[in-house]
Amino acid sequence: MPSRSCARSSPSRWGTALLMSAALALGSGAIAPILAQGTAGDKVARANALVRDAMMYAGRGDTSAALEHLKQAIRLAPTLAEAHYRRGMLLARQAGTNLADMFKRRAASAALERAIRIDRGNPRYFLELGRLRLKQGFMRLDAKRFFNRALRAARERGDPAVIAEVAGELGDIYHRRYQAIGHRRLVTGSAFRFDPNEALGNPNYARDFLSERSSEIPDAGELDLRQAEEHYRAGVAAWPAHDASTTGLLGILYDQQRFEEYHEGARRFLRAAPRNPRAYLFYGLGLWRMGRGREATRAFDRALALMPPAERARLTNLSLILRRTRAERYERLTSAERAEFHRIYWSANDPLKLTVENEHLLEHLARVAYTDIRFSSPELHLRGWETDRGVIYIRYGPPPIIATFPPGTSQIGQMVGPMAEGGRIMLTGDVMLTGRITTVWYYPERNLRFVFYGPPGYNFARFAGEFQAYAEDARYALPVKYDNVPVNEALDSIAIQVAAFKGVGDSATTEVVIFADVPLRRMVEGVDLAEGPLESGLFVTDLLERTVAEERRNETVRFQSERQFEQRTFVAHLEPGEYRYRVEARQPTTRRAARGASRLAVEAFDRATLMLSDIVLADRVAPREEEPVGRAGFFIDPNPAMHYAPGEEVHLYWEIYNLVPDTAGTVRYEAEIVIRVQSLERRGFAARLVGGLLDVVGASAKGDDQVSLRYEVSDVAGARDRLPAWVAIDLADAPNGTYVLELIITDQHTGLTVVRRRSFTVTEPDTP
Amino acid sequence: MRRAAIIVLALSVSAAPLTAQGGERFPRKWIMAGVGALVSGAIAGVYAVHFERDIGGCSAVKCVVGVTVGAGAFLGFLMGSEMDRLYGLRYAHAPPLSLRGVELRLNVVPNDLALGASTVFVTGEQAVELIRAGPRLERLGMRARGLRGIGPVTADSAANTMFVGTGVGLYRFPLRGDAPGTLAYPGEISAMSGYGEIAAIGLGPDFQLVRIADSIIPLGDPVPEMSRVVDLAWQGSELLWVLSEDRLASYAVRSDGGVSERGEFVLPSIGRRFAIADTVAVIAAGSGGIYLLDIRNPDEPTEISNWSGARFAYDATIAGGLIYLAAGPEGLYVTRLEEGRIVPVGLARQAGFVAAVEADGPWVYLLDRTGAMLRRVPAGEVR
Repeated sequence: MPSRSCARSSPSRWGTALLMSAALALGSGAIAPILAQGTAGDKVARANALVRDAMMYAGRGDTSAALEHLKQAIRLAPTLAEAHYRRGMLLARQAGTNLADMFKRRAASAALERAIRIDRGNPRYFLELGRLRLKQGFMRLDAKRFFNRALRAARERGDPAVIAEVAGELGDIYHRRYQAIGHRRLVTGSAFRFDPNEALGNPNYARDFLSERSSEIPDAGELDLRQAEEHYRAGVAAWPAHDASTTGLLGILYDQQRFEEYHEGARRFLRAAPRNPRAYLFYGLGLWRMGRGREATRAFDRALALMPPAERARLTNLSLILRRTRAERYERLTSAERAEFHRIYWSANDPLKLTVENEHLLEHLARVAYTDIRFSSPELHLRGWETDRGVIYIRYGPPPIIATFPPGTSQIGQMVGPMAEGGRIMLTGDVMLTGRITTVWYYPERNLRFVFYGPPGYNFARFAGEFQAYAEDARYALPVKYDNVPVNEALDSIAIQVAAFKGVGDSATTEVVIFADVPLRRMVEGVDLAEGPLESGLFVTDLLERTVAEERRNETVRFQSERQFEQRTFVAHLEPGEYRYRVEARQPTTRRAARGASRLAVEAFDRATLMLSDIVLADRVAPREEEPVGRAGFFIDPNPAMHYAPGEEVHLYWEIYNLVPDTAGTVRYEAEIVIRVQSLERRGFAARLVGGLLDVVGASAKGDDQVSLRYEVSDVAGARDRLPAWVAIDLADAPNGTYVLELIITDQHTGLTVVRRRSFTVTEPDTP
Repeated sequence: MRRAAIIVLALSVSAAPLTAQGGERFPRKWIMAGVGALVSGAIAGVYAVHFERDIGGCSAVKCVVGVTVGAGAFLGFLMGSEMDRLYGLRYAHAPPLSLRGVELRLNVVPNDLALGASTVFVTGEQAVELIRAGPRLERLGMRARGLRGIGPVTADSAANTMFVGTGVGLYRFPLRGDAPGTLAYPGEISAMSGYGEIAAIGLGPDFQLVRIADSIIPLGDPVPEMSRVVDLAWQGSELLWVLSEDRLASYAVRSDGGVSERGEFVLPSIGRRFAIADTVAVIAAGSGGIYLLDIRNPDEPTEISNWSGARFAYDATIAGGLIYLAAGPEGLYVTRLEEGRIVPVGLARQAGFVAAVEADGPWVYLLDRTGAMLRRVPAGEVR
């Protein structure tokens, strides 16, 4: 088990534990320079030198050589407590909690006890023995006694670093006790116990059990929680840079949503340990939960910058929140490819580009930081994000409902048959439950439930039964979710219609016009303001999320408007290619936002071939001037959602390019508009639809499910590089449904034909 | 039976005495031991009536009754001891205190409170709830609905105006009527305090003096503080106290709106809120507890006493000769100054998660954040 860092600038208590031990040994005044051989004093000096060498070997990872040196040191000077202590510490750290390490633990215990017998007032010896006890099954109950003795000894010696170490350990003991009984549920009614297998198979079981067949015991474990907090606070008071005590304290404050206290604690830690990346990580977590996103971004950036590359790579690893196959590909990427992947992933997953911070990235880092606080288990060499609970937390965020159940009793044994008739006690139920705390995390909104088993007293729990497989299934369906991020709680959608036109003049770019319906009325619903700022923006990126075009607007809008939507039009000049675009709107006062996004394929408009712009579907199109030469010459009231109420007119606008004029300079073309029924909300109304459309002048029916309008136009092209056209269609009593509109233009001079299509919907308008 | 009694007696002798328990609370361990003995005695009695045969081991009535009663008493004793230890931790710094007063359930998830003329303003997640502070607490309505990140609130009843600070601006609302609000001043508003038509506004790490008319007119440039400005208070028209996260500073305010620093008191922990009563100021300084300062000389505010018994001081105020400390989940601490030291009078845990406390004449208002409750208690009275 690694030692806990107490140096002010200690980066981590994990990887550097042995190095620190070596450093302690090197810095120890007890180790004198090597003197000549011979006298008892010489032997002690040589033994001290051997201890020093041993710790150097340990620092390099050569534990065998270190133990050998310590063995020799003990042979030379059997009463050298430091040698026994170092040997015990190394053995203890080598030993795990499993049965196979029993002899190693016993040897470590003997060495540490020997060190204590030689130097009874050394708090470090008691501390290490207490830590060893934590690995020794039922003997872990004895750990507290040793920690208390270490605390007394440390206080007597006035050693704040050890006081903090011991306080952190004692805090952990109490907090783990609390974890076993916190969120405890009392099973009521006919239920006997929570059945994980039933929770797996029956989608309603967890919900019903938690809401109807159990009730939470209020204040369960308060005593242990308070004692844990007291110890952690004592540790922080003794040594403000102490990692374990601070982590424990911040964990309690966070869990109880005492964010003001958390913020102050994290800030104090940061000031005491300004080179510790975890300090920035925890500080960022608090800032993010308090809604201070910009500051949180800075704190997380600083944390990552301070981390050693290996730790940074572990912390920012995305494989946990990707589907398995994608994660496997991700793991094979080089570090440079991974960095690029991160950039693309987080840019694509930024819920609002209008804000400076990337809320999902911040939430991800905050979740990772929390798992580090809450689920890391030093004695098991586990970081929080490596644990089952940590993984689920990073994917789905804080569980809205947590419940714990005591170890089951059914598996302890039940009498089968009367004893007099040879009955016997049989183990029933899930033997894995024996002595284990059952923890249930329930996410009601998506009916996700996860069940964990964990031994009481350890900060460790694993998926129960087949929940590992269930988690994998859930991961496939939903690799990650950020429902708890405030911006997502009030994120509306923006309806968008994109239309591409030929660039003006000699430009080789395509003019992409984006019509957006900002749902302002919904965004400001119930807000007691007459007006307020509205931020909106267009963001166009290529498929690798590199910014191609960006436009931001800030304006003041009236909130009391009767209009359901505020229309915004953005124009981007783009080279032909594949893009992603977003239109976003945000009302900063209410923090409500809306977003519309999609992929965009931009075609080239060449200078010779007959071409057609996209069709703009509008509520109204009217020329502003006698002979309009392009879109600017029209008043266009677009219909970004492409939804029409029954009976509304559908207005169309398009532009034709490269019609070939005759010798007199006249162009002639035929326009055909075909409207086809794609789907109807109600069946059996096709004839009425056709009948309704037949009333349009010039329309001719082509069948039961479509109508067509055809007309010819001749015009003088002159110097114009495009011919604008518009038409209004009366849908009359066309029933609710989805329609496909096809525009076919035929150049009567060349006989060439071009086609464009749009879909639109006839539906009842939303009731405001 | 006798054996059980001996075990209980031995345990009672070896049990450590309670620490820092206020009043004459009878230890629960004895009560619970008695209850445990009674319950287990009843069970043993049932056994004695129905199973009289001795089939070996400890199956004789005498043995079963003795062991059962002893076990019951022991279990009760352990439970009682836990209760006593919890009590000891809860009231380690002050004895329990009961509050008398009126309370009102709030319609907002409350964060903070501010007082106006006979009106209490409770700021919540997405609204400000107005409550009339008459003989009873009565709801007047909600304002600033839909606003997020609501911070300081001040009101001028005569001008029928309420200002609500948020993370993006200061908004003006009418106190009466349902007319919507308007943006009065853009920026992150972290604190606000008015004196007549002049107001000081905390803008994150700066503060700004403004004149309030139909619009808000800045007077001079923003004044930088070393850290975030969290609270402001006027002492007359020429002296402004500014609490930042790092210090309490006094500023002389000229008639043209210019300011010059006069003195400061540097805080060792984060300053959160403060209140002034005549010549003293009390600062709630988070984990640093409360600081009582002598502010008779604004050039040199001096510490009278510091009390850090509470785990975290969210807010503090002075009323009726007592200092009230909002201690979050611990409840409300009531302290007083005795011989130059702050000494605890009591802790009212039933006040809930007390996130804010304000004094107004004979009353003290408490905000229970998790219970969503506004409470009013008479100042200076403790039981």
